[in-house]
Amino acid sequence: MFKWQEVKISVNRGAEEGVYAVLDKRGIDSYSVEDSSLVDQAQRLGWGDYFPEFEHSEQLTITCYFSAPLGANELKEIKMEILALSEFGFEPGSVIVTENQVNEDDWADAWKAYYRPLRIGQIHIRPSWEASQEDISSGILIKLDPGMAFGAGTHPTTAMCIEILQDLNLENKELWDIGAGSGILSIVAAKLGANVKAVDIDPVAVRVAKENREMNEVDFTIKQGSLAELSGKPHIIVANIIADVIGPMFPSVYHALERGGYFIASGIIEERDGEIISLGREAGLRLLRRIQRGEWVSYLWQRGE
Amino acid sequence: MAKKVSAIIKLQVSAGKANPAPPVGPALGQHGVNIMEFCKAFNEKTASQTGMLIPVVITVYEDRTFSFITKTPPASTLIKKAIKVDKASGIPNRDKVGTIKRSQIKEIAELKMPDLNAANLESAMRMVEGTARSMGVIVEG
Repeated sequence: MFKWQEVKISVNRGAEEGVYAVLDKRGIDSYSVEDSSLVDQAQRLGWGDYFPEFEHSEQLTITCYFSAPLGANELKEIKMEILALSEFGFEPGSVIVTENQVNEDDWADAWKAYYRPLRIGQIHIRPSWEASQEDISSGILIKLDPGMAFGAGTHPTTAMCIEILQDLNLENKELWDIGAGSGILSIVAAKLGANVKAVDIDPVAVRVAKENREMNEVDFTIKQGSLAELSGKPHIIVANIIADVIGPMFPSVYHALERGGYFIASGIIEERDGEIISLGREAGLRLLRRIQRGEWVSYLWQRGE
Repeated sequence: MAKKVSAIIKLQVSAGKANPAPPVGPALGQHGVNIMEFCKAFNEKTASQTGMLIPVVITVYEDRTFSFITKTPPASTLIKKAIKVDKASGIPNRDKVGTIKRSQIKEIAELKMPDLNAANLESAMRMVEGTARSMGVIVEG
C-alpha cells in the first residue's frame, strides 16, 4: 500500500497568493484548498439549491502531498517563509503547519460505494464487487473494475460509444480500441463478436484492461502504445480520448481503416465540435452520425468505398 | 429538480495534467466522485493552457455528480510568465530574478480581480505587487 505525506498549512485568507508563491518556489504546484468563502460564493452564484452547513472562517487550509516526505526542517522553513510574507504587505496571521501520513487505499476506492450497475441498450455493466440479482437473460453482462483507469461506463462519452458499437455489425470484424482505459469498449466489442486489438499509452490502463479482460473471459490483445503500434486493416477504430488527441489522429485513422470502415470518435467537448468535424472531413472521412449528451459529443465516421 | 450540494472543493492543478494521484484523488475520492471522470473533463477543458497552474472549483452534488469552473492562475504563475522567468528567488530581499513594470502589475490585477480577495483594483494591485516582491522581482516605477 502506497503512503503519502500530507502537509496542511492553515493561514489567513488575505495571504493566499503569497503562500502560493512560497510553495511555487519549492516546486510545489498542486494542492487542494479548503476555504469557507467558496461555499458563500457557490450560494451567491446559485450552484445548487441546498448547501452543507459550514463555519465562516478567515483561515483557509492548503493541503499538499509528497511521495518523498519533507523533513521537519523543511516544514519549518516553509512556515518561516509564510510568516515573512508580512514584509511584503500580506497578513498571514497565525500559521499552522501540520503533517500526517495517508494511505492510497483510503481514497482510491472511496468512489466505488456510489458506482451502480447500469444498462446501455443490451449491455449491462456491473461493478465487479457487486453481487446483483438483476435478470439479464435478454442482454450481455459485463463485469468491470475500472480502478484507476478511465471507463466505468457512467461517463456520457463511454455510454455513447457503447450505443454506436451496438448499432454496427461487429461479427468477426477487426476492431481497434485506441486509448482503451479500463478496457470497457474492447470488452463490449469482443462480446459483440469483434476481433479486438487495444492500446493505451498508460501502463496502469493496460494492467487494468487485462484484469477486466480475464474477468469477462473474452479474448483480445492489449499493449502499451498508440495507433502507430498496431498493424492490419481494421473495419472499425474506436477512440474515446480528447479533442487534442483525436484531431491529429484523423489522417492515420483514414489510412489504417479498410475501405468502407468506420471510426467512432468520442470524448470531444462541445467547444471543439466544429474543429473536429472540419479535421475529420479534411482527412477524407464522411460524418455519418453525431450524438451529443450534455457538453460531450461523439461521432461515427466512415471511410469511402 | 432541486440540487443538493454535498461539498465544494478547490484544487490547483497543472492544465491538462490532472491525474488520480494526490491532491486530486484524496480530495475527490472522499466525496465519492469518480476521479477519472473529473480528470478527463478537466484535462479536456484546460488542454489549451498547458504550462499554467489552474485553480478549479468543483461542486459535488448529493448524487455524486459534479460540475466545475476554472479560475485564473495564481499571481506568482502570471508574474513568472509576464517577465519570462522560470523560478522565483529563494532570498527575495537579496537575490533579484527580474523586473516587472507597474503596467504589467495592473494587467495581472485586472485579470485576477474577480478571483482575488480584494476590495478594489488598488488593493488587488498591492497584492500582486507584494507577491512579485516576495519572489525577488523588482517592481518598476
